[in-house]
Amino acid sequence: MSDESLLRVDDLTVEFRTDQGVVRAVDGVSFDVERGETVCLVGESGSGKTVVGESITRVLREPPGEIRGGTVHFDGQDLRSLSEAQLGAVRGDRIAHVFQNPQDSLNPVYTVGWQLIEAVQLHADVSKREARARAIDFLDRVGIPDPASRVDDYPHELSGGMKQRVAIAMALAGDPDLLIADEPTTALDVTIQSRVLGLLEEIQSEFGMGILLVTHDLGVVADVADRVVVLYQGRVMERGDVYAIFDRPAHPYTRSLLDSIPGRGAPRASAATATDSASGPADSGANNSTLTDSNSAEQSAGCCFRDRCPYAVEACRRGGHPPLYHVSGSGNAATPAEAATADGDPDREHAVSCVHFAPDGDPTVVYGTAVDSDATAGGSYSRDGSEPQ
Amino acid sequence: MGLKWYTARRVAWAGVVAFVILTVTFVLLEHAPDAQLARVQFQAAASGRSAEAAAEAYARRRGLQGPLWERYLEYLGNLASGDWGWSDSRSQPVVTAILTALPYSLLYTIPAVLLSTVLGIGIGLYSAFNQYTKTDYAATFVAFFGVSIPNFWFGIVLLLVFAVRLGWVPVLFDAELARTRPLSLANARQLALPVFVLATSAIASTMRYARAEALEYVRAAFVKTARAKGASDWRIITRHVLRPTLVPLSTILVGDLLGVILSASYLVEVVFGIPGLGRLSLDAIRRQDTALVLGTTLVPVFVAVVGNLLQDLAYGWLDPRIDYGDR
Ligand code: SF4
Repeated sequence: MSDESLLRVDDLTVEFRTDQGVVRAVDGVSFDVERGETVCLVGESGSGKTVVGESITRVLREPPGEIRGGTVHFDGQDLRSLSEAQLGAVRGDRIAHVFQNPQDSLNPVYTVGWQLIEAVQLHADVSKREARARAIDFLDRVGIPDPASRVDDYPHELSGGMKQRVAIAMALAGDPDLLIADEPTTALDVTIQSRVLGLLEEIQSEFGMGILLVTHDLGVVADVADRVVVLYQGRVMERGDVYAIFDRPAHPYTRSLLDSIPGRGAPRASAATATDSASGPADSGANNSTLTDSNSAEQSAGCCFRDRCPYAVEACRRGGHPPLYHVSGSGNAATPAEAATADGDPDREHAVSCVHFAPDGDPTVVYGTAVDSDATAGGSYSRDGSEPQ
Repeated sequence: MGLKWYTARRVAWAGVVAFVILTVTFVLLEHAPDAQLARVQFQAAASGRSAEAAAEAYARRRGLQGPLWERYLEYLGNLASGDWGWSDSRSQPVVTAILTALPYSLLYTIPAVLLSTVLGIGIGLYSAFNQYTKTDYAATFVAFFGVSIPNFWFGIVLLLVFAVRLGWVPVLFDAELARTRPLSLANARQLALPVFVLATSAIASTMRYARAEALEYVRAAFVKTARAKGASDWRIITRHVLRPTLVPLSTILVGDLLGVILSASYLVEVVFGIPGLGRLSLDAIRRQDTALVLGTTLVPVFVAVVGNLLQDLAYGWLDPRIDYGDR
């Protein structure tokens, strides 16, 4: 079943060497992305979401970063076993990236056209004239007015939103199957944000590619996601269908994230204590993460969210971090996610890493009363966000 | 318009700088003790004549009468008309003396500067991309070696080893050979050591700066973008990092060039016996040949001025964000 996935990340572990020691930025993260689907990696800065995105094609700087374990399969191909040269052929061609800050992501000393032509010619054996024609075409497709003259502009002559469009055009140049977009709209102002998101959706329906969107912004997630993976300190806290995550968030961390969205209904009283969560757009990767010893994999005791969790109980301090448990629709018959293969791929199920959702746990501790889930659905975040242009 | 106006202003400014340097040199030379005058006076006194009268006659012969500013203005006037004066010590026009010496200097400075620029930038970029690896440390060691070791001492040691001991290169520089057959292998052999000595010191500083500048860009988001596009490391270095790195580096290159011409060339020419500009200037200072000293001073000033101008123009070519309109 996993063979069908466009991208399948399994048990990915990434560490950073810093002056203070080895930091485990990503710890056993698994998820997958299908064709035509948008998966959002959500987390605050330091959650490791950027590192995950950059580890897939290893654009991550190594050193200081180092992928310590796990597998990355793309279209059946094991990316981790590829050489740097082989990866170079995948990057930009089959897997494209769009990065956070459009101000810096274009080379300031070359024209937009030069950089687009480079992207085209790196993967297609075409003449300069042909590449230039394609470059202009791509600029046109991402909605840059007067592309034939804009192609000779330098990046500093464009606005931030325009630059991000150029970056997207560059990502499209190789006709990728997977687009990894890391906070593509964070540095842009709100109106431009929704346009760029709309553009991504348009392109997705046109090209049928999978999108892995890395973001801290749940508003963006609500707009575009099909499925959501919530990261905290390099671990998956919860994952599932976007409706499940927004309507029935199970993990205390996810719930606190949702509560911190401005204008989102009445705050759930029980989780109101942890509203300082979704802060800081920049995800520098190594900050704030747990310091671990490189050779002892599982030494920090208990759930990594326990210090901020309003529902922490004695069980949360024992053993390792809780595994992902399946969240059942009714909210009580919980089973380990790995066992719930009956209704399909376990990775596509709504699953949460919290002791209260263990087979012997009681989800109502987090949900409040069983009825509360209906109330939650009533106050859920609007998903019909502003449509582009 | 912006560029022309900018260039014009730069040239005018260069003129002012040249004037100030000339003036300072002129005044300093005026107040330096004149060994020749002392000798004339001594001889006069020894043979019973008036030392005073001898000094006056000497001054008249050398055109040293009248107030300083008058002589200075006259000198400037001649300079502008291409007459740089008469070298007493060499009994030839200053312009001729300089033009004779210049080719010898160029013979070793041009290869040294080219070599140090290309290698310095190359090694610097390589180091930046392989930061904290063994090769990076090795390059850093070589750089510090090159910076720390005194040129004249290094030159002497190399001469002793390669010329005296091993006999691979000649000990004495053959000016005749350099003049008649500048492109011959024999000439290349006698130039090898001076070029090497000069290049080691210049490579070092270029390399350190190139490394520091490139390090900024190695981490830049646009380099990540280039990698994500599928560009190879070689392409990233030569296309994406080199050009922005060259912008600040061009300043250092002009400085390096001046360093080579102003100081290193004196020592290297003395050690290796090359009759170039450095030796010419040194001899002129020793023998109080005012006109020649001033003439040789003008050469590095000219290089500095032209170099700075070229560097400014290079900025604009390398980095489109630089706008001459408001500078
Ligand atoms: S395991 Fe415990 S500490 Fe962790 S999220 Fe669940 S309740 Fe909170």
